[in-house]
Amino acid sequence: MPLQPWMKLISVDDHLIEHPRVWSDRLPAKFVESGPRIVDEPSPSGGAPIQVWYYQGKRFPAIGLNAVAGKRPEEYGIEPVRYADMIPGCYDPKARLVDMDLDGVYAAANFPSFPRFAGALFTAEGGDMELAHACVRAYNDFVIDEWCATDPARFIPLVVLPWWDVELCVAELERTIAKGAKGISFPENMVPLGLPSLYTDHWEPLISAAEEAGLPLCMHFGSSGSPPATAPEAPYAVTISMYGTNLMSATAHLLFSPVFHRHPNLKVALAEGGIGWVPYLLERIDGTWERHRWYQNVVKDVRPSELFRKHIYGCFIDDTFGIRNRHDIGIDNITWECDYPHSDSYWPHSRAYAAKVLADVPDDEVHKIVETNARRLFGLPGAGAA
Amino acid sequence: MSTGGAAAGREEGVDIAADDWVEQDLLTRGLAADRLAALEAETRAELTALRELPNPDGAAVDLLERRLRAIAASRETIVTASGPSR
Repeated sequence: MPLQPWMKLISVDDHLIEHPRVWSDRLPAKFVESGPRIVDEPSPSGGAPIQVWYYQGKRFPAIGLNAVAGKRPEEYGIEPVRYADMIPGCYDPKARLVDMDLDGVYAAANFPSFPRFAGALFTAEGGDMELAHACVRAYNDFVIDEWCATDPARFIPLVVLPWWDVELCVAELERTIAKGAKGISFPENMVPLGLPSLYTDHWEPLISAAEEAGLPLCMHFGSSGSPPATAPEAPYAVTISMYGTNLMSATAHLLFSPVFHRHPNLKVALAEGGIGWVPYLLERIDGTWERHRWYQNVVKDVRPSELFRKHIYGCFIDDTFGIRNRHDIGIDNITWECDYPHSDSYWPHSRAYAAKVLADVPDDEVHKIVETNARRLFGLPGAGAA
Repeated sequence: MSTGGAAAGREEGVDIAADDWVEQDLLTRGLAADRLAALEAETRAELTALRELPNPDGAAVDLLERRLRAIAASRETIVTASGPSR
């Protein structure tokens, strides 16, 4: 069995659901009413009251990730959406550890839910930006001081930043690094958020700070708030199927950009997008670079696929095609994800399923994929040499 | 799951008769309990088969017993959950 009992599975993509007091416990008193808070509302279907977030007076019906995904606003709230319906591992880190033990998962990095995967809600909603800034800080304090502090060896802190102001981003990054942050949940694309792209100099101070501290930019698909919908009439299944293409776009955007040339030690982790597409896209990008780099503002002497292998990590749950083609992706570039507590995850069979998917992979490669690549990505002890 | 069509033009019977909370989002307590029950049945069957061998591997038996205890611990948190304090 290539997945040996002594190998410690590290998931680079799990999710937490913020409990109702994450912000009210931490915001200054003047912001508690306008900051994120949970409100009980009568259920339209007559069942138990539903619970929704309110922020700056605006109602946000989904307390769980995408609990209303694929529905129009007028359909929101037709189902009972309550914390009591969730498994406690969603919002309680002690219960999460129990579930990780059962699942055979040693450690995990968790993305936020209510603030959106990269915390972009506080940027996108605008309004009172002093409050928004306090909300970003409160989330980071929660994730480091409360969630990850439950077991610092097993929870890997990902922080979010006040994207609307790069100087504030740098300050918040430095503040959270001092508290133990290990990664930045970074939007897969800034442009849909109304912010400058990675082709500008705008983000240089932040990326320099991340590079210097060795923190990866963790880009979860959907974190730009721009889902790959094909038509208003198309079922949401189309969008779900295509979400990984957002990370294909992010990869091409990064590899032709100045980012990796300016930041030779920067690491980027692509979350929940699978890996099977990587060989095709790198072949396509390299071919484009071969033919078309001469007349464009593209670095001429480094192949994009070399940059990928040096800087970018992908992850998978059940991408058997990607595992078969792992050498064309790069053994050192593949990590594993669990996606708990989403129903896409194989919990409580995640370890057994990983063993099945990796059954034909040599032990040393499995060890890199499930554990040591993630250790290297997040700067955790025991990474060994790449 | 919604078909995503315009409200006025949506056809009856096109939507799947299950909400997306169950189908594509968080593990519900019910779904998690179902998965735990399936894992427990598998584990008990493995344990029984192992114990019926002439010379059962003690370490393997111990591992399966630990897994059963982990299943019980997880079920306990799920069954007793009433949501976080407010």
